[in-house]
Amino acid sequence: MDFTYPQEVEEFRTEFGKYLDSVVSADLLDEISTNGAETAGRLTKAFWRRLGADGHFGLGWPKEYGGGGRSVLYLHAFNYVMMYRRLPVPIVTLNTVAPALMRVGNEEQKREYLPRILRGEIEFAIGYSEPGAGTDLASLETRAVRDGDTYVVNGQKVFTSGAHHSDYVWLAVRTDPEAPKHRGISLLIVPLDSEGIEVRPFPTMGGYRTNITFYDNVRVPISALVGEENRGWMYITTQLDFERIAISPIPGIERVFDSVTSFLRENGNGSGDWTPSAVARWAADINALKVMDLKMASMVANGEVPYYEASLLKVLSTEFQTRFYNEALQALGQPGLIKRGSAGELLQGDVERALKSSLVLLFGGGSNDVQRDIIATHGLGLAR
Amino acid sequence: MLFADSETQKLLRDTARSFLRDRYPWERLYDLERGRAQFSASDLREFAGLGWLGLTAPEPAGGAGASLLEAAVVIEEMGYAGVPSPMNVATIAGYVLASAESAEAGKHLHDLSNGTRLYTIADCSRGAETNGDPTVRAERGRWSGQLALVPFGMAADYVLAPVSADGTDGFAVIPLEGARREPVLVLDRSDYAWVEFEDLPSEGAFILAEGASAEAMHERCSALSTAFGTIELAGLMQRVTEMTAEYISNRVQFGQPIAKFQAARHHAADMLMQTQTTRWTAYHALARFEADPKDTQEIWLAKHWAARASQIVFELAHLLHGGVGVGTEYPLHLLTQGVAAWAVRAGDLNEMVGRINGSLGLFGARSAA
Repeated sequence: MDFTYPQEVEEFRTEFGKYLDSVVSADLLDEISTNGAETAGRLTKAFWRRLGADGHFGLGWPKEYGGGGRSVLYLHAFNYVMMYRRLPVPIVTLNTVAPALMRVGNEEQKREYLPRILRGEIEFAIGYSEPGAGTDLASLETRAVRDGDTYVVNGQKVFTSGAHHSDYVWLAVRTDPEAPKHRGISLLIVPLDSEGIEVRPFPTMGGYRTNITFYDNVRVPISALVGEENRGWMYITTQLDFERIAISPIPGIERVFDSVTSFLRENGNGSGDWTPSAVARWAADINALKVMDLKMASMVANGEVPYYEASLLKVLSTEFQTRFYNEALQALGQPGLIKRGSAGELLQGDVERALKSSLVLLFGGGSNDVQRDIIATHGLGLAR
Repeated sequence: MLFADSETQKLLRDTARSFLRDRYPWERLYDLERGRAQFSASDLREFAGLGWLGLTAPEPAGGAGASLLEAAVVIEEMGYAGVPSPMNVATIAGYVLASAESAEAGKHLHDLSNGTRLYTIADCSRGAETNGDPTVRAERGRWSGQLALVPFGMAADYVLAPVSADGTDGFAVIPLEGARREPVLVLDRSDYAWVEFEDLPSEGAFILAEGASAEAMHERCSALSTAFGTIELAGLMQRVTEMTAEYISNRVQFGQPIAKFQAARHHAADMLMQTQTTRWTAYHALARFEADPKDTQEIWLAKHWAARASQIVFELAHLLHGGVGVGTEYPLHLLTQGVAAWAVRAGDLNEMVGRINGSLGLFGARSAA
């Protein structure tokens, strides 16, 4: 059993931190704070292009696609440092779209999109969920019908996060309504400026903006098809495994833990009777999550795809997260409830905001109840 | 012993439920949440007209002389309806004023009961003070100091607060006119204000109690604030649980309502277990307090349970609702934000642990009242 975290990844983490100190401006932080991490503004996009140009987006990519060919642990360290600092990462583009294109995209698509993703020039939104297809994603109804050399797309998607500032939507559509529901789905790359697409905001309680997107006779060339027609479900499920690892709440949890504990350190008398054992429990829980997170990253580094293991960490970390933010509010007392910018705020209202934002992950990337099913079936081999 | 509403309580509950349903539809709650509307003098008069503000005040002071349990029924309904209302703090203010047994306090109580003036209380929880000292001082007839997080502090006419008057600790009713006030935005967007008295003349202020009786008054205020806060929280939790049960009964995935799936059913059952237990422990504690205001231990125990139970309800409601539940166009968040805030408000877990351990004579913790 080898638990050694490669020294060079540790060094990269330190160096990358210094690099960020030099390229992240106060104006950029201001834009992120105003827009929220999910809405990339002008400075954020410029920041991404800078990261791309400096080779930070392709660290773990194979060299044949212009990447650094380094272990996935670098990517893990990169994501951690960015998320700890609450810097936006075009996560679905880098972790969902790009790996899928490398595996199942055709040569033309790889040439068309991968270099631009690597340079931080283009961004994708994901169009999977629909009003009637959330946890039961395979029942999606958005249709794509072949008409000569084009597909004609009609339907509606929900939670198309980032669609209001992205260039393309990675769209799951039904191409064979007669086939069993998992076998009639395909993936299309659809430019978001196509005629017939409407993007409407869907505000959420964390202040996070996501979108509802409508597709009304949207025409895309058949070259927009990713991989084989009607094989989309297989591509989607493999990507979701990666997504579950990439969208980790752990760096955000650690940031809040660090700021709450420094607050308590400086205001020791306010720590009260309940807080001491709570803080120790948080520390133990966070340690457990970090170890399991490293286990997932090392599986990927060794060429395995975590399946039920990814579900296990997803359930543990997302449920801990919501409980932790609720409890951190108890430790701060009533002033912790005050919103950023209001008189008497504590820690810039970070905990109040983090609590609301945390809820999405209880079901996003696959509801935790479904994850428990996966763990029971694939971790324990229990009959369904 | 009858763990059920009396006839009077049933009537109050039915009236409150239908009144609040009619007068506070989701659209109005959205307006309140988004700052497009505020609790106003006409709302206050409506509450007074229904007899709610003077419910527990003695009849000579224009009240109905009802028990705290009756007031709790209305407060629980406020939680159930998701209405951020000053009913909770006004009832506590009324209870404190009634206990002062003076003509001046009686006049205030009269104004409170008939809705002429809105009375609020400064945060009574122990965690709100700096080293246990009052933050408002009166010296040679002038007030100074600050009160953070005064509920309905923008709309209120008077605040009841622990004070230091010429070096003596007291509990006072202080006019808010002339004080510098600033709205404070909090997690659930309830009305709160930061209040500062900048060397204001003490005209209109009245010391309700001094020394040991002020301390006892403060303790009663804290206990009642925690008890009513827990009951308002129970109302919110009940509504959240019902909304979730309704949602999972109608949301179809995999060809059937998700309520058919065992995992979802069990989560919903957990929500009900937590909610019902919160409700009954809070009412039980309040009944004991009413019988003997020194008997506060159960209030702290009930809030400790409620703070943890409400976190479970909060999380499971959002887990079961999925994406729709976090969207601000769907009203669940109007209630769950209240659940998260009331878990902390009116006595957080640190205060509860200190008080419970104190009442058990353990760990050198702060002693209970």
